[in-house]
Amino acid sequence: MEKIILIRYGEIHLKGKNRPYFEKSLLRAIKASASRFGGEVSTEQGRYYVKGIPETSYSAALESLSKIFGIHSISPAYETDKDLESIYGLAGDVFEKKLEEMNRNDVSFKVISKRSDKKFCMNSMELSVEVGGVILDRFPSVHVDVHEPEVNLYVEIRDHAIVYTDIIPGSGGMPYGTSGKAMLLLSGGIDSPVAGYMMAKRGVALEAIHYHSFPYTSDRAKEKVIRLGELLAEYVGPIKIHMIHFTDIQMAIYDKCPEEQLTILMRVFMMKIAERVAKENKCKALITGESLGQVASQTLDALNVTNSVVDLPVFRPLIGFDKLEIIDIAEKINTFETSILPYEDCCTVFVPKHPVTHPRLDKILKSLNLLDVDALIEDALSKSDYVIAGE
Amino acid sequence: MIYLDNAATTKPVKDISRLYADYSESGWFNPSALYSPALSVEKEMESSRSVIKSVINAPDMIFTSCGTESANTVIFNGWRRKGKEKFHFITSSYEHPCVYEAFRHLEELGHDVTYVVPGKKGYIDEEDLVKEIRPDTALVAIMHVNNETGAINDITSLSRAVKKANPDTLFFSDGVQGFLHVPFDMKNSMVDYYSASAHKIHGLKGTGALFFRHDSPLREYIYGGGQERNLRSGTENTFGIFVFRKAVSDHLSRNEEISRHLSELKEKCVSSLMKIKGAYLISPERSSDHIINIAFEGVRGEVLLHLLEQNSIYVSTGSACSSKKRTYRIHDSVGVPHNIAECVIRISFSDENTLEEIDELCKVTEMAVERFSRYSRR
Repeated sequence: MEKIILIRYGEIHLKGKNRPYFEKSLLRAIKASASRFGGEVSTEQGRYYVKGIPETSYSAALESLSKIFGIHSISPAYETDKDLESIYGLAGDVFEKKLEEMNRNDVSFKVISKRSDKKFCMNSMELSVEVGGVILDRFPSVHVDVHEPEVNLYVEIRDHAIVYTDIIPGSGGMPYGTSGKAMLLLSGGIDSPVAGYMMAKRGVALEAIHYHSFPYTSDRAKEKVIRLGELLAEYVGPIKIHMIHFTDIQMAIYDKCPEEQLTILMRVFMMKIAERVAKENKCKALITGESLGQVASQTLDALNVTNSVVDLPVFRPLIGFDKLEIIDIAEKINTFETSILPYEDCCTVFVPKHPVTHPRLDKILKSLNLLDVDALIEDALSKSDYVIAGE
Repeated sequence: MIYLDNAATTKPVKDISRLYADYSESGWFNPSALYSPALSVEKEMESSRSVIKSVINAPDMIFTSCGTESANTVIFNGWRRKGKEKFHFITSSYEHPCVYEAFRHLEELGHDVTYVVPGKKGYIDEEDLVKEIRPDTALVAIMHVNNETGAINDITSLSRAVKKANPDTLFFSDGVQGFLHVPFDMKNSMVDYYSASAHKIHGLKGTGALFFRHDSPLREYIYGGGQERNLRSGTENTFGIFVFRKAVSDHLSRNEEISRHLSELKEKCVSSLMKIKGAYLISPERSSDHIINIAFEGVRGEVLLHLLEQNSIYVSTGSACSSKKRTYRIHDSVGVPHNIAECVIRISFSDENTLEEIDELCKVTEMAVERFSRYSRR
């Protein structure tokens, strides 16, 4: 018997003629993850098998694979030859492991058999009954419950016989990168990593852009953003993060424009720079963590202003989410603890006392006319660099 | 580099390499072993204990791993337990997290904790404290020197007042910022427990002390071979202890000179910084000479910190132990409004700082405040 990992994929079933493309992308991601643990990947009728992973890295491999987008579910499984003696023996062993894991000996169970090899000597129904009998003989305290069993024992007859008890839900979504690439505005707060995660889950490849106010913000704030990139990279692989020197722009706004417009003007510059860097790097959209009404710069009027200064579509996957809902996801994807580290960032260093909450586009454009926008952006970009997080 | 964050940690004593050479040659034996080289290590360790105890004239002391361990030990094991009975505790609202969070945990365990607020004066008031004492008050914990503001509490008087109100109540003082900085005579007070940390006084990290009286209850808390008065088992960190002793004896040999120097540094620093626009001094009148807590209204503390960092001057915004959680607990306690609290920096000296460094600090601070206040909230 061999311990393997069985992977089923979900939504990409639906993709008609594009299906091979999606399958190839998913296979690439699974291979990349499996090879880190020494595993080999093979395919069979809408599913993948990962074999050859040493016992010591088995659970790490399982965790890593479960983070891949496009996977519907994963099962730790065992494989053996298609003769009845091997199957009965393995079914008993797998069931025993499950009892040990549950620390019980009196569970209810059900055998679910599937047969894709129609030449096999029994049909599914017969196989379930026989395996059930074997289990009852070997474990006298358990009983069958076909309606609400505590343990499902799956037996599948394909090229080999496969036995397992657990189906672990995968991340779902679409294979990473199958929807093209977008630029994520990554602030270091709670929302933006979540927004990136959600779009990545829909198959969007991520590149990120971060604005810092060096020397007023610290290396720790920058490290924090890189750390967030690394946490996202666990789902999507290495991420390029553009680090934009934003201080001079902030000071220019402060010196020349009305104070209450500071925040919205900063957002305007951020969007413009993000779009420019996005186009240079072949990204087809921007992603922000904005959630309607959360802060002054996220009112409908403010979003209208920042939206109108760019041509690329802007994805705001959190727009209808409450803060607590966003925090739930941040905790699930493990970015929350890092996001709440309290370092000053470019948005906290320069804050107007009473930011305008319902900016008018004409007024904002008038303020922009007070500045040499192109020169400021050129200058900021010339002082910027990038890092690759999660390499 | 101008290092002005000595309340966070200090540079280790000079000549540590010579000390290490001795240690690696003949000082590395297990002090509990029976042969004579081990005996001399034990003797060396015991004489270190005497030197360190002498600083505060303490009845007894065990070595621990840090100030946090010492404080936690007292709070969880330094009072008279009676089965599962719940007790009352008193501490102050501006203790270091290693005390404050430990009491929060006692609350979670079902005990009752009263937090006395120092208020604008910056010190714990004797009357405020005594009126909270109850027949079931098991332990009172009031820090000697506040780690952010530098305020000195008169723990000798406070401990006497507590014992007068309830002789059964035990008294602990977190002495991490007080030890060697502010004179204190434990036998002449009614303080039962006092803690210190070596790396705050030019020792090494990983070495702390817990001072106590023989009749003060203290339960065994690390079980094993019975080291450290059968309270804290585990082979002693002998090298850390030897460095601790050296740090203490070096300081004691120049005690008066050091105090004079620190007080000169502080006086100069405060008077120059207070001339800067928007300066707001938080350290109260009676505060330790090695800590200055000051804010420049309109310039956020972290921003000023980074501006100073540009000139290789290192200060902090608050306690390093709190820098991962942004709260204004300490400054709320001493009545500092939030718009000032977010502008606070802490400057903390050691004997190695010079008057020239203070000049440089004040010059750069003035420039930084001038430069940034243009951009701060108008």
